[in-house]
Amino acid sequence: MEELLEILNEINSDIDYENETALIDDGILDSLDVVALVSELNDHYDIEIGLDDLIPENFNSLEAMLALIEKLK
Amino acid sequence: MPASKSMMKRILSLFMIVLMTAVFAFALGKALTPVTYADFYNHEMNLLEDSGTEIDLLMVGDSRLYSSFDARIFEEELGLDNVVVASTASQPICGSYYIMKDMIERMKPKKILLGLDCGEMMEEDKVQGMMLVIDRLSRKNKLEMFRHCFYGTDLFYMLDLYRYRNNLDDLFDNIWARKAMVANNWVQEDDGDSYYCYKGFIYRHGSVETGNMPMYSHSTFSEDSILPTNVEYLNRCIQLCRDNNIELELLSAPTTVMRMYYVDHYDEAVKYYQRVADENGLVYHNLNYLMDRETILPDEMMCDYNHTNGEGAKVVSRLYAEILKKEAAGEDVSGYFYPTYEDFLESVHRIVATDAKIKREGDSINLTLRSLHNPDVKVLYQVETGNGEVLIPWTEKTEHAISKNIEQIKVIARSESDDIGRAYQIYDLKNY
Amino acid sequence: MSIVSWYFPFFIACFFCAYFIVPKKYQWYLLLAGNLVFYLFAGIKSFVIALASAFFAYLAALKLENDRKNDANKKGNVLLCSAVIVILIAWWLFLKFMGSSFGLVMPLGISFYTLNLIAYLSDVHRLKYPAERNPLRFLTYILYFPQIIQGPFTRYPAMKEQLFAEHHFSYERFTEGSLRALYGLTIKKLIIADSLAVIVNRCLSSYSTYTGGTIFLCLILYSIELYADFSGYMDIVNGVSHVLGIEMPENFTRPYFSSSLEEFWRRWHITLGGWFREYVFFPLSMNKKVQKLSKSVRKKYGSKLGKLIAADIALFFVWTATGLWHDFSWSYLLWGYLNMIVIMGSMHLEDRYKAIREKLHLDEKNVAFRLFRIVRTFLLVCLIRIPAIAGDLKKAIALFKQLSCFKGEGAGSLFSETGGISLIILAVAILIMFIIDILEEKEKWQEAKGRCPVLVKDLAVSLMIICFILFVGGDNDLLGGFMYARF
Repeated sequence: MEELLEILNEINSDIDYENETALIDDGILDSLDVVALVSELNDHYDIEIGLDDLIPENFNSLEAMLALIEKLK
Repeated sequence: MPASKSMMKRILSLFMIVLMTAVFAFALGKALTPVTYADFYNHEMNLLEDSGTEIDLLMVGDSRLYSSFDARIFEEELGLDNVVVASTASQPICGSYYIMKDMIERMKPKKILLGLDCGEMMEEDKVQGMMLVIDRLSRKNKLEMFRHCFYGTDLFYMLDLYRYRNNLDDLFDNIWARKAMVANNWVQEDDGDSYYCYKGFIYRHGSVETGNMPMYSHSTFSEDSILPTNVEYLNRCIQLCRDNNIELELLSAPTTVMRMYYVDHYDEAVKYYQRVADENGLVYHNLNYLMDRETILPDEMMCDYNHTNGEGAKVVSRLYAEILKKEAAGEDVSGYFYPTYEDFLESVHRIVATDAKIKREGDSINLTLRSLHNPDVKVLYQVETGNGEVLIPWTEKTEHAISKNIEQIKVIARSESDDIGRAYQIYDLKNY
Repeated sequence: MSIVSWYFPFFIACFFCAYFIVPKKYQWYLLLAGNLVFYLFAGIKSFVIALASAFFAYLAALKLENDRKNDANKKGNVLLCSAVIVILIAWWLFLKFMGSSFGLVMPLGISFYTLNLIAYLSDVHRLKYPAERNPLRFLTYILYFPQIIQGPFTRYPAMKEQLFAEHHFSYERFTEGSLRALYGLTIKKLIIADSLAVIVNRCLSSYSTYTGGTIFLCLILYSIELYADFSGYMDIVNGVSHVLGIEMPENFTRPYFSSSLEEFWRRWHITLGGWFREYVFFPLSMNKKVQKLSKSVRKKYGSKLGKLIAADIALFFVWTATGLWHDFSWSYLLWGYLNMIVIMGSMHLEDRYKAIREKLHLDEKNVAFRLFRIVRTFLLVCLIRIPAIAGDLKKAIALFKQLSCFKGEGAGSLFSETGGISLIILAVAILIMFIIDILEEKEKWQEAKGRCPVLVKDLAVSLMIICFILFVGGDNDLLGGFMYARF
């Protein structure tokens, strides 16, 4: 959780990741942020996030992202 | 809120929209309507109609009639009380029919002169021309003409707001002009260009120098292109006069000599109308074939490429009134006219007009020179700059290319032996 | 059919009546008929091409789904690519045969429905949703008349739900939808866009005679014109659909209030951005090979570049495609790349910008600073549009050079041929559009509309109808003079 927060804050530090639940749906993270994030996550956790994983449900909140990472590990 | 109450509110709301739109459309339409000849004409005609005056001689046709026929001169020369020129710009033949019908119902004319042009029978009716006629008809005939002559989206012109919507920026000028018209008791002031004179006659200023007539309005007369609807309306006009015991005479009003050359098969148009007249037992005169017209009606008496000016109107009206008087007395008036087109051509001793088609192509300007003249004349052209410097010396060649940097050119045409009048035209090349 | 002619209101009025009178289960058949009638006005050639493309996509989707289900994955990919290519080639061939990529010549709306077809094929291939089995239903979607000419881009599932549902007449939806459509048609399109078009075209056709300042003013006016034209059309699309009970996605959310170019492209032609994001940007940036490249760049050049390289590559293709989608010309390609450079620049230099801001003690939330960024973004958008507005590279460069010219006609001459009253009406219309946009931005517009007395609304409708009569042309050319319609 801590690591993920660090990565997220590097992308965009003005967002309250702990409380937001519509990061994608509300456009808080834009597409450029998402690609940068995916690149970081792929490298950091040594996973392969694919195009089919790129749905709002997987990135809307901190919990969702953690779940995705767990699934792909 | 109970259903019926909200339903009432909705109906009221829709009603308000319709009401407000109608009010705005009407008011704005009225405000946008410009002052035209029709205002003066209608005012005059209504006064005459109200006083029970009947028309002795009615002239119906297009703008060439109202430019050339001074009603006062006809009244004077023929000793008549009421001569009216009921014509509008680009009047189509269906318009002439309705104007005739309208006037017959309102002021019982005794004799009608119907103006016909070489292009009329082939033209499809343009809405603008028809609207000008509509402006002068009684309400009953307005509706009838709308029903019979207007199609599809043309009908929107019934709404003044739509018809005059391009006048939006002149809104205040219009309102002021209308006020001035009423204050001036429906007498139009001469603005130096043209003004409504008397009973439909429009006095026009302006004059063209002989030899400097522009070549405008090319067309071709061909009997195959004559539209059946136009023939039908012409026949209706003739029948209308017959049914009402009105003497009808056909005529072609004066245009410039240039147009007599520039309309292909001009003489066939004249023959066509002569035939129509003969078949119906009517008289037809082409006022363009007036004897010695080169002398008595030179280009200086034309205000543009197609109409006489006020001075020309005087000449034409006097002459035509004389012809009508002699005709009424049973005398032969054929001596007033050239018998054929060829006879007329023989009276022309000049290059009638010249011009150049100008096209910019890359680094040069292409010129295609042409002129109007009698068939036996060989033409030479010269092109000079605005300062008189000769660019292309006298040559028979008509295709030329000149430098793109030239600002103004003068094209001159003369005959090979230079024994007849020349023609010229000046062009500002930056407009091309 | 031209939206800005007398035909359209009559068509719509008849269609509305028929739609709500006909038995509910036949509503979508009527919609299909309406779509066909509407599109037939564009000419038989356009009609046949659209029909052929749609039918081809319909069949291809069924095959793709079949192959995918039978696990013939590779074959499916090949088929998908071929289908896309065939559609694009048909498009390109049409362009060649007609000899020009401008104006009247393109089949109406081809750029729009082609992308919808590609999206559909791609989605079916990825088994996002089942392929449509009923060809008539599919045709109803592709030829849906409000969206056929200029979009917005949609996805089949969302549209399918609404197009084939039963719709009951609602007076509220009717008034709301009609009001919005009238507003888009009269205020935005007929008054603002068409009046500005005359002024802008006059300036551009002889740009060398104007000062740089005048040219710049002209660019600003062009930006207003383009916004009014396109968003006005969207108002008509959304308004008409709203009456029918069909909600379309928004294409514009006050784009000129954006603080940055990236934000601008999330507010301008939103569905186009969405399409490129979903079908070009993400597929490319998430591609395994690209991600691998990203990892190796990270190792060599550091994590920052590694993070951004995937986006960079994808952005390049997105902007190439976006530029070419607008027009198959070098100038639009340049326009695309200018946008790309600014966006990439702000991506890569984000840290530097942040540092500068902190040094100058500029808070992002500061009103004055926000205003500065909005104005800066707007001016940037105007400048970037130069190649787009020029039409060819030579003229674009000449225009750009002309900006620094001090000699020539001033701004006054731009308006010299427009009458006084027309100018006042234009100014008032722009002011109205601006005020409504501000209210919408502050999310106070719905409230304002609700509190507005009915009589005032009635008056507004009356005045807009009068404006329609005053400003509508005669029988316009088929593309209805809408700027994006030639795409």
